[in-house]
Amino acid sequence: MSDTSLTPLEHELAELIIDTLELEDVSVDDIDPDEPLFGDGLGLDSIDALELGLALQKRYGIKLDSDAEENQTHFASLRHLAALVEARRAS
Amino acid sequence: MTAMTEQHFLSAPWQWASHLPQVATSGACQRDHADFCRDVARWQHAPLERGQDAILVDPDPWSFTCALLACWHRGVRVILPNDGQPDTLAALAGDGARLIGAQGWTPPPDAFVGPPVWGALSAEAVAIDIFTSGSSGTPQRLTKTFRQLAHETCAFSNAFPLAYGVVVSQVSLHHIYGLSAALLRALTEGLPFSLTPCRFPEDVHHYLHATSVAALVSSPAQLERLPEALDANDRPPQQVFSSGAPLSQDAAVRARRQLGCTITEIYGSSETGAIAWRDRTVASHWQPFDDTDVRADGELLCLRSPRLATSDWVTHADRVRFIDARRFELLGRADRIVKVGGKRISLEALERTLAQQPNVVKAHCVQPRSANDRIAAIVQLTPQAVPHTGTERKALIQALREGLQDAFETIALPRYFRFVEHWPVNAQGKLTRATIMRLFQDLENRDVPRWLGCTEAPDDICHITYEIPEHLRALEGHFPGLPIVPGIALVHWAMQEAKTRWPDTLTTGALERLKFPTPVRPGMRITLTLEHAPARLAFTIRSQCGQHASGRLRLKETAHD
Repeated sequence: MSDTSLTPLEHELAELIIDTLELEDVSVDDIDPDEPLFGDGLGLDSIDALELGLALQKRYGIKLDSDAEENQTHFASLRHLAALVEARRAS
Repeated sequence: MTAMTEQHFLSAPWQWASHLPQVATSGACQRDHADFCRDVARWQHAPLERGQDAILVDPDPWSFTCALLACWHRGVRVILPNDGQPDTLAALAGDGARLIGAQGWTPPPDAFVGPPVWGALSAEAVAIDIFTSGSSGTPQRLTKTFRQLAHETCAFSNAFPLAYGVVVSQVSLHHIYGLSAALLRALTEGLPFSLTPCRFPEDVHHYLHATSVAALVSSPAQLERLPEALDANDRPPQQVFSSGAPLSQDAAVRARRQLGCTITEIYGSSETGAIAWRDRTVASHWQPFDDTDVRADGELLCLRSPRLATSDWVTHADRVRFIDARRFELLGRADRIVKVGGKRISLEALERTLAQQPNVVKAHCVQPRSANDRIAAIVQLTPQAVPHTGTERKALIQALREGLQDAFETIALPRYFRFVEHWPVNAQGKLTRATIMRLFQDLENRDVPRWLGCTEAPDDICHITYEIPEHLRALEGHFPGLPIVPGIALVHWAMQEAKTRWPDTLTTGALERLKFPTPVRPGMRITLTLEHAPARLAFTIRSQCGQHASGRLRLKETAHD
């Protein structure tokens, strides 16, 4: 079993996702950092991806490429997303 | 029977005692033509300037009728608002009109007055300003001339003749349907109307047993909730009408069995007036009234009738399929195709699929925020399926989304769900835009709980259902790891709700006997019960876990302040 406790950044991102996408029944504790954000896991869709992209840009100054395939990797899970933010923020 | 005509209506036959000896009755209490003349004359003393319009709000059928006719026969145009909310009235009064009726000017009870003035009614003069129910957007203001009202009334008289008896209205007389199908029809045909408001089944029961009911003018909201004990087969009404929303076949069959009478559904709108009718237990298609021409304009219904503001053809927003030259089936509103993220989605298709899911009674999908934005669903569940905790709610949403997944793209799946036990319609049987906004208000405002409807009982008691959103602001800091709703927030909600419901009640008195036996947690479904007694307002908050809060407010008496 994977470790489901969140790092501070993951926690912050989980809050950002919930706030941005207005997921009314999801609390931070409900997001498994290794579960897919899209499709089966959290059930997010392509509009969510766009909105989340905008929110990341606003909060962290990160610009996501319009390359859908690459984005799919970034948005694969909360853990992946945190790794992306960590990397791009540092650069 | 001779056909009712526009001329007969315009001659105002109600001014003659020989035509209308008994004007209204409740069985025990009667109003005869002398009472009618006296009260119309009293209302004619309303302090209105020449050319000034009257805004009339009065829930009492007798006062409403006397005030309305008093204005008409003085040449005063009458504005009939949808509700008596202070904001609504203030906006209308701002245009220079004067409020009369329960919340405005009323005649002094013992005023001695002469006979009323029965000024002529002119066919093309505006009789009333009314407002659409707001089920398909913000309420629109419409005017109706005496000619239109005459034909509205004649349509019912000619299609569904009545022998002598009382016309009982369960619907508001402030709307075109109740006004014409019940009140104006009774006055024009010389039949007494129901003296008291009849919203509840108890009232209908009373009239069925205390009087001979000619017509019961009702709505799906009421016909779907007839108590099992109600049985009118020994004294059935001659006609029962239903309008405002479609009546389900089940409800039609049940109501017919209990009332011992065919239920005639009327299809129409505030804009068009009555268009067509059907008996749901016989057929699902609609038959237009004899004076109405219909045809298809593409897939939309096109009609021409003397009830329209124009003599031209008018295209309606409802989609139709004709089964022959006259009869048609309704397919839903054209404006129910929406876009989400640029993709076209049929809200009706979503609703149909949702309604096929286990434990779903009925569903209505909307875009509560803006065009192109997320879809939300209002879902009525069977009582045992109603979620009482956040966990149950999540599981239910997951199941519903899975049930939709095969037929719809992820983007089309409702993001927000509101689960209700009772379909949240108003007294006219409409799910209004205002109610929809209220159901989704917590999306915009994190200070409010998720409102899920209000059931009213007579005797000043009401029950309001809420859910506690995970992101309620009041949960912040109370307490990390174990969030609970602070008692002060619960009391605040109760007081806010009381203020909306009874605006005249001062909710600033002393709170007493406050108790908070068990905490309210996020995700919980709770019910607030408010009970308004003359000197106090009691509230209780309960859930499946028991009682969470109770208390009462000692009301200040305004007179002693």
